[in-house]
Amino acid sequence: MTTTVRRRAQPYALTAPALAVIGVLFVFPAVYNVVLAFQRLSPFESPGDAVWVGFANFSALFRDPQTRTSAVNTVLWLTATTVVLRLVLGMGLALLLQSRVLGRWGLRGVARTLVLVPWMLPPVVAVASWRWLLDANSGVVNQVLVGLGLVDRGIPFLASTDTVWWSVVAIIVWRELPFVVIVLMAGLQSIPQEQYEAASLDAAGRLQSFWYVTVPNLRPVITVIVLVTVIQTFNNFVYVWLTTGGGPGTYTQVLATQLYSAAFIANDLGRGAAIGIVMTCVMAVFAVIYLRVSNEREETP
Amino acid sequence: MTRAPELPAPAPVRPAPSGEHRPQRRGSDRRRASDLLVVVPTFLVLGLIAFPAVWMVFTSLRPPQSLATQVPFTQMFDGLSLEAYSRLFDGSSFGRYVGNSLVVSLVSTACTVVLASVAAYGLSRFRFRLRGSIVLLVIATQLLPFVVLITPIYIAFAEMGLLNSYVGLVVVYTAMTLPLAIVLTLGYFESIPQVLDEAARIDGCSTLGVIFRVIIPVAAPGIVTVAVTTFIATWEEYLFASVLMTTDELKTVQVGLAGYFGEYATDWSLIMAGATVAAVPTLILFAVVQKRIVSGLSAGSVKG
Amino acid sequence: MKRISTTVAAALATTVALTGCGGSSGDSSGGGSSGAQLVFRQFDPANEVQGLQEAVDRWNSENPDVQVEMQTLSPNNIQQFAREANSGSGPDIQQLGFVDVSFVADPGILLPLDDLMASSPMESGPDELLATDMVEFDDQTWALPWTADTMALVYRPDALEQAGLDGPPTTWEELASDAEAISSSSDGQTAGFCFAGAGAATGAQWFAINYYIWANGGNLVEEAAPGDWQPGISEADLASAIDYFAGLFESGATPESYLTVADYSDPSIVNGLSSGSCAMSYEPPQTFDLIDGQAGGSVTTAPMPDGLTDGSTHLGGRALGINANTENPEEAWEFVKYLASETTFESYDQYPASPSTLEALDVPESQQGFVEQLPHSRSFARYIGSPMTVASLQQLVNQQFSAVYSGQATSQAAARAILDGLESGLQG
Repeated sequence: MTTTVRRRAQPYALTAPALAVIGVLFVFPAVYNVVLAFQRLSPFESPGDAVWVGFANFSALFRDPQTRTSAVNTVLWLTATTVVLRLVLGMGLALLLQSRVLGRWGLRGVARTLVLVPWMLPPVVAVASWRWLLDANSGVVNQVLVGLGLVDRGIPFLASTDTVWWSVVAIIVWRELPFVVIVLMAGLQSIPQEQYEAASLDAAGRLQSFWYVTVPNLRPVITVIVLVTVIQTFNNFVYVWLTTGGGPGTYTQVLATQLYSAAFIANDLGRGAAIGIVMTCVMAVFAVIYLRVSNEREETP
Repeated sequence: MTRAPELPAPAPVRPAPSGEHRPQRRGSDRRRASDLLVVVPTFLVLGLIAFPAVWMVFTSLRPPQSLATQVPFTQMFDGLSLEAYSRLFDGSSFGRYVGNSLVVSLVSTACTVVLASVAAYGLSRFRFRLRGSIVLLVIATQLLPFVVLITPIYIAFAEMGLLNSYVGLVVVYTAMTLPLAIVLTLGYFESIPQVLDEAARIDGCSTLGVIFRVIIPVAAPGIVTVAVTTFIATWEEYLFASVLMTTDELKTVQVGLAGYFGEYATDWSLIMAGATVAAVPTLILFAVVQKRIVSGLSAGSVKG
Repeated sequence: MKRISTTVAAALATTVALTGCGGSSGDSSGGGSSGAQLVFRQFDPANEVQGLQEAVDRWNSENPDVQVEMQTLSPNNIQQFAREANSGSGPDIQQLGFVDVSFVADPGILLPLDDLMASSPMESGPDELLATDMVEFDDQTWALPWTADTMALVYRPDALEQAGLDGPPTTWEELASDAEAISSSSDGQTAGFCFAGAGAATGAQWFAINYYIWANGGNLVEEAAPGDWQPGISEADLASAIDYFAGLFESGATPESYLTVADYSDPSIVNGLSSGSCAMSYEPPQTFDLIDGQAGGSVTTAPMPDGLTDGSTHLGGRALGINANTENPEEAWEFVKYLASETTFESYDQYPASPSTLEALDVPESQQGFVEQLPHSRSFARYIGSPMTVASLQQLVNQQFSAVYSGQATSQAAARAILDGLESGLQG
């Protein structure tokens, strides 16, 4: 009798410590954030000084014409483009780094360390480096382009609306690529060699064995990667803020920078919390739908 | 306790292309000229990837007057010196900041990995009623912009005396990184068949024993991946470090770096030098760890 | 198991052991049995404040019963100070930017200074201090104006000479035409006027824009009647201000690369001036000092265009506030007075917010532009008190101006957008 009880209690006992740590830190502030969205409070006041304003923060958010632009930017440019690029390039790099070719030359270790290099730079330093590389006047990229005769004068990458989003995307993809590569590499390890051999015996070429062996085996890992990167990127504030500050004009404004501006520049924490709640709801809906769809696909062989 | 079965013999050798006689290397291991078609572009791409970091180091060696000015290529390497580094260590306790960061990051990474492994095992091996909700809850914590957590946590920590202490920051970092660690570890554990658990239990292992002696070693690449991701997340974290550690002796490296940004002047050479120094521990970590990410061929054979 | 449990045990043991190594929570001073221990926090980077540290050391050696520890927490994080003070901790004396004082002018955070000033007055009367309008709210003095700065025109006489100009510009129109002349006559090698044209929320073009608007008789916002704030500039005037600055880029007076520069301390401006690829810009005294040191005598200052007219330039700087939670208010006040005295400014490289103290100092010839302009500068207090924070004003203006530079909007549309933003922001 006691063994069964202990058995049933086990999963709870196993997950409890982690949940306790997470809960202690997240639950109360998360609830407080919901409360805050219905108040007006300045970062300089104590929570006790807050004033109730009902749905005013939310209605202000939806009446603001900037919100629509920010939302579109966040979904299309900030999230979708960078996640897709990271997945494609990350997969390519992970496969390359696994390849036997590199192993023959003993270069795997060097290559794998090199691919992790972008992670060594904190975002502030990474953005600063990139801003100098992209500078219209003194940047290396432009000096090379002009030197090769591809352009007449330097392109102001971060000042021109034609190129600014691609520049921001490049910085984000560059800095966050190691995560995707490293997770995929670990996943590739667990694919049994026999499946590849079976495929080659069936006269499958490289592309087919990739599609029919690699991808299905990696499905759970890819699911996790997409889920995690979408959520983290959607909420991301640092890259856009440091690179362009939302500019030129308001061209690269995203929801997270709008949140920061409301909370810490306009000193209205309530408005910032409201934006945060809306962002959370969008991501929650996405997560639920995404997980349901991927679970279904897993069940159908 | 038995460990996972040893991996089988290497794949059968394919017949070598005619004309190559290198008895020391097996067919599939022979270096070919066509390899360069893969190696060269790969390293070109990797070189491009590493370039901004190289630029950072290069900037730290250049005289501050030359930054952001158009310098002809021939003059770019003039005046390189380690002057910024001597200023870095003379003028501030930067070494101390690196030490603080190392302590906080290593300890919180260890805590996260342990707690996440235990929790992920529970979520992966047992189909219990609250399982789905717990997974969702864990994902839900990722949805919060962390900025809004500062004030409530600050107030609570002030009450508990956890300000300006390693413990406080470690607790925050562990809580911050646990959700992702759990999700990732869960993904890796799922691919490990339960036969291993059963075999270990027959040998008399307790649940914790199964986790730490069988599952984790088999999932080593995944665990190492989680550890690296967690370490980086804590190493580069700025927000909570700046709020919870305000005394000079306890500042972390990111807060220290941010301290070189001034209202009137920003010493970029110093910042790049500091960032280079701060990158060294992560570089060492990567070089040591990159092998472990791809070890464990046994995992693959077991699944078959 | 052994390996893992050893790691875990080691981790836990380390954590527990290091708890003892952590400092105490909060920073508030204690009254030791041997005297008072005060904490003074300032926010300039550590390598810029050796002179200030010297002054603090001098105090410590002369005042064994009131020991002061100088803490550096850079960059400026006023919300951190508010957070700490609101929960009963924080440094005894805190350096505050002028624009931040209004946010923390609250009995829960700062100690009003009037009583202390009455019982232990300063040597020079408080009336002659600059920028008192930035520290006085609700008929109370919340902080002491400590240092003052403004933006002066920084220029290279050799670049002006080469373009055939005999002196720095004194009006904004002259600035634009002089800058264009310099750029074109040097074939683009020397930029006429380099300024931070980025639309970032903290972008430094804010200063030039306001100076231009003030010189032309307007104000972004005005308190038309007590509690009733309105835009203080017409759409047409705003559009022509935008046209002026957009014109600098179009005419080549300012190179395109400055569209992405946000800070006046950006290397492209600082090194541009010291190396000669920039002819003119505007900087505060600290930054000018840095440029001067690099440029070896080839840069100097002059008042900004129209800078000798009262109110056409801004007066910025820092104040000193005393934490409401301090246990040693009288000692803290004595230390504050010391910081504001001439002795400190002998080693501390800033301008005091006290004209009499400033007169007693030796200011190098190249910095005369600041000295001439300071008496005519007026602070941003003209914008304080409205429902919109100065930071929001700055963000709105910078964004819209930058939208025109990058071709996303016409100057009329941007002017309209600014006024709309002002109207909705001023309603609260």
